[in-house]
Amino acid sequence: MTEKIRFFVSDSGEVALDLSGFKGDTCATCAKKLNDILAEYGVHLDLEEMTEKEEETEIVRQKNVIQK
Amino acid sequence: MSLIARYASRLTSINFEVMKKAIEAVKEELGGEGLLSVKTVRGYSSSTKANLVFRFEGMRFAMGIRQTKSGKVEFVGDSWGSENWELVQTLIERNYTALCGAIAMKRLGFTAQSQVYQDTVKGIMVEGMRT
Repeated sequence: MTEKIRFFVSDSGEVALDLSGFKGDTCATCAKKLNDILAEYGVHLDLEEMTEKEEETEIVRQKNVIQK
Repeated sequence: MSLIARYASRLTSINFEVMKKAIEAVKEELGGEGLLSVKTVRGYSSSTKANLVFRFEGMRFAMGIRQTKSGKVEFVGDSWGSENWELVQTLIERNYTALCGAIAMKRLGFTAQSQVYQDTVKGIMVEGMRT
């Protein structure tokens, strides 16, 4: 099965992250790894897991932490 | 009034090579000179140092990005006479974040491609796939 990530950055600076096609905990693990790599580059996300599940699909959304 | 001002960024401890690509992407969108070889941002009556300096179409003075020792990132420059000062910062931060998203996906073994969205919500979509 194909695992997919959709990472949307709006012009207002908000980030939305959708992960699909993952099985079990691999979705949250992948989101965490992605978040860790982004942090290396100075992009800081506030991971907020949503509990929506559609069979083998989980959706995780993240929003930017506005640091001013 | 014309002066050099600092504008806070939500980014910290950026990767300057990625930031250069983000700035070049803005150049493709807005036109203009893009990245300049100088490290000084000049305003109407004063100047200041920056790590990266750039100018696009519609900007009277160049803008710079400066990172402090603590990793704080700020945009610096004199916005007087510029039509799109805030837009430039927005686009650079957006492009940088999207590029980092694509890099992160590739590091995790995904193939990544990006697309600019100009619909109801404007932004950049980076999509990655892994089998």
